[in-house]
Amino acid sequence: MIRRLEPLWWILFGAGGFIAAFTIPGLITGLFLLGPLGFFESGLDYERVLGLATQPLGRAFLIAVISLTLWHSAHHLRHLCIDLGVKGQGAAYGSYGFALLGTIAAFVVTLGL
Amino acid sequence: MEVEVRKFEVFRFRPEEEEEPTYHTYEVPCMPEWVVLDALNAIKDDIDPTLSHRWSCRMGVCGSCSMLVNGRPVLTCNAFVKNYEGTIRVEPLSNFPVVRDLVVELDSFMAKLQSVKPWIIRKAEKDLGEGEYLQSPAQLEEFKQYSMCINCCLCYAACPVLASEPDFVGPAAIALAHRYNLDSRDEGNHERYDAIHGHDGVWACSYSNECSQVCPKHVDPSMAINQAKLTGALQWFKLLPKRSFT
Repeated sequence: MIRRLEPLWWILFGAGGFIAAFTIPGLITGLFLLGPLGFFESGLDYERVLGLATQPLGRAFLIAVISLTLWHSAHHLRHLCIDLGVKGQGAAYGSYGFALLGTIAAFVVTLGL
Repeated sequence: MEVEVRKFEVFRFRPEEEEEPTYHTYEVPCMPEWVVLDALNAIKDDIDPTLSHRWSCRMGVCGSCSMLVNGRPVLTCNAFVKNYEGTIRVEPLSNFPVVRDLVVELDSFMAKLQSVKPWIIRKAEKDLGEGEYLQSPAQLEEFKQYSMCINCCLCYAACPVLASEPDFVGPAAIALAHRYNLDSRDEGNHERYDAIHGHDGVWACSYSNECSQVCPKHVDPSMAINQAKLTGALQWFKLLPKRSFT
């Protein structure tokens, strides 16, 4: 099962790496550093960020960033286990299972905002 | 010329005489410009004729003299003694069974190499009278880097995946398969698909990049593997026909 779906895991991994590299440094710098330091004239207060996050595009963005980054990490974790000599598919089920739960959580939380 | 006596800790294993491998230290008078292979030849010629090791061209082309020097896979004809400090440890390539001393059994690699059909496959051969298959410099550039492999197997000794999954097709064979898949004259892509994208193909690779680090010919097999992953995944999602990579 895991082996048969290998291209799917890899595409999710690749997409996650791409989106993480392009968005997360900016998100962290903007939301947690520049915003609080008052770099944005309009301010990045809670209401304003919540407004952004509840736009349809904002929700889609959050779901994509959270879930794909989790899939990227899960694939890394699985292959780290392989390189460490862990036998069987337990690592794959564990890693991808966690990413799947995280994806479901991302949908539930983001759409519930 | 200043001769310097250097110590070499050499892996010895003669299966017909002993149960376990041992290490033997030789003191070898080395010339300043010597490579590790020169020292091994000096051991065999002047100190211990029972030592077995493979070598041929002495100029980094044939890929015969691959061994581990201080734990790192190298061509011993290209590993200068002066670049190492203290005792130099020489061992056979990892991830291969040892036949004797520094000589390993390469049958598994040869079988993997054949499994990816590393030759130009045509649906129908052109008649000789119709002339050659033309290729532009740009088309040659597409795959040229991957055709520089000398089958030295350093990448197989360096690969962490092969250490735990011996059936993994491996860096050199996949790079060579990729080389033919990218060749504008080749139409055999679908015939290599199962070998490259099957159970022991590219998906086993965890991109440690060790293969490209040790490659003496700068083939960059890990790049080939990851390009093949992308095309394979797109083909799996039916976004790319199986017959064309480009």
